[in-house]
Amino acid sequence: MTELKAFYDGFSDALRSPEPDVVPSSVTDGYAHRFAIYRNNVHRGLYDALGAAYPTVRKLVGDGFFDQLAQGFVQSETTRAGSLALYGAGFAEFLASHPVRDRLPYLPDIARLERARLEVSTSEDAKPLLAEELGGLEDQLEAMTLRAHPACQVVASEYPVFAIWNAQNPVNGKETGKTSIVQRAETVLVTRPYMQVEMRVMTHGQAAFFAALTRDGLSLGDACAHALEADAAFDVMASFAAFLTIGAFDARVNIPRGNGHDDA
Amino acid sequence: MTPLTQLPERAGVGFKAEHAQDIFGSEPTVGWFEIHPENYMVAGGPRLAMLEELCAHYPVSMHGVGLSLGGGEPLNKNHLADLKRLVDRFNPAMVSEHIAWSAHEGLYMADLLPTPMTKTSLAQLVDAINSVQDFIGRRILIENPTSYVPLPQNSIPELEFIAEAAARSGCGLLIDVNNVYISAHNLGFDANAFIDAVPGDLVGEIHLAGHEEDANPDDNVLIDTHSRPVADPVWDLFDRLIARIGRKPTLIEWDNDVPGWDVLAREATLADRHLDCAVNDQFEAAS
Repeated sequence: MTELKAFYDGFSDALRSPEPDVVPSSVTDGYAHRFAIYRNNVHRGLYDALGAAYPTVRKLVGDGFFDQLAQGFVQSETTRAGSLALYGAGFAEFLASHPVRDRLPYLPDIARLERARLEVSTSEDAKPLLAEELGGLEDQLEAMTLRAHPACQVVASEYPVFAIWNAQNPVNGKETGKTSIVQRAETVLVTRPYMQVEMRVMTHGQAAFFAALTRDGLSLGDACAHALEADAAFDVMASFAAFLTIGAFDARVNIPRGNGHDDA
Repeated sequence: MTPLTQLPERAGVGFKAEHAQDIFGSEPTVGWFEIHPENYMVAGGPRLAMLEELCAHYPVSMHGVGLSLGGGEPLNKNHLADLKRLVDRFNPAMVSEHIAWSAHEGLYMADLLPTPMTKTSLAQLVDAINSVQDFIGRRILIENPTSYVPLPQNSIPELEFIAEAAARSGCGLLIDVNNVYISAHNLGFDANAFIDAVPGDLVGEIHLAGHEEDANPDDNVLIDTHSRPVADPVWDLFDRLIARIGRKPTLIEWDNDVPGWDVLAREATLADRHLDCAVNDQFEAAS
């Protein structure tokens, strides 16, 4: 048993070592280059999985530098699940404490946006609340509370993360042209009402409204007041309709009944 | 326990998302598809929806790469629970895994690493297989490894090791003929002798894949790249195996430099032709 334990320990230590020439004692002389096949498979596999989860970060820094970042990230990990379907949690935090941030200060937030996209893409399927389900409930709207759809996240950044992401991911492979990106803060709403991930940049008022409603649990009426306080230009009706269209709310909602409304 | 295989005794293909349009658009007459359950261990969304559609049209085999059966450690309970959820939801025609390890002390390694073949590791492997079979309520298949380095710890020949693991746990064998060819070449054993000694009644599935020679000029080690068509000597070993043990569900694996659907479909058709010939040979041998 102890001999086997020593084998597994030695093999995995050598695979993890930052020194590419380290070979475990169980690999006899003359086979170092064959051990390198395993080492390469492990590292290539993890770097590629990370790149698949963060394709825009990879585009922004280039494949070669991305591999260097991935190597550092892999080295820093103390646990790793046997499924790589959600691989790369914590990469944004890793980038935030990496010197690359001096050169590309928005990179950690791009990673947060890509992580949100991945999580939204793979989270629980649920029906979004549709505008027509609220028809005839005008009297109750103000008191109503709403939950965010399970496939919905908000990414707030000091940088124009959506514009940067968009420039790197042209629709249908067509270049959108060298549009200049305006330096501004962006808060992005990421949703997946059905099978397609959607993103919208929220105005200051919309972000305040959505946070008050889904994070703080305020009623629609109170959330509106809160949003208008934060942003006098907040357009309640247009914004609420837009949130419904993009599938931001969970359809599993307790609609207050009464006041002459007939249950259908 | 469930029967050894519910897959059709035909050629199947590894499912790739990039082929989804070809597959769902025209429903090609390929016998079945294989997926790695690890890629679908998520709560919802388009990935699971795609698997749902695949399972609605074809028999599907779930071929795991992350259980680390040969790692000498207790199995990861979360991973096992995720696998069971998928098996319960999609009821695949087959569940299989590797004789390998892929995790150590909570850190997944994203590769199939060599399990030493000793009495102790055999007992550990049998325990691991039993745990999986008990937990998911099914008989599984275990696949022979690809080897690159001879391990000084090894004290049991590979075929004896895997056959004994199957006999003791009641699981079946998945014989990867490409792995046999590569390991025989890399470690210097006789591939034909291995193929001739495979216990046919335990075989539930066969794998075929392409391999490449390492760039190192001093050592023509073969690497299991799954990046090319099946090599001729691997077809020969396949013919030799099925001539003796008969038709088996046979997978074409192609995971790197993945070609267009038509190329993959042709490779599957070729495997079907080999399977048909094997049956004819058996009739001739019997008459």
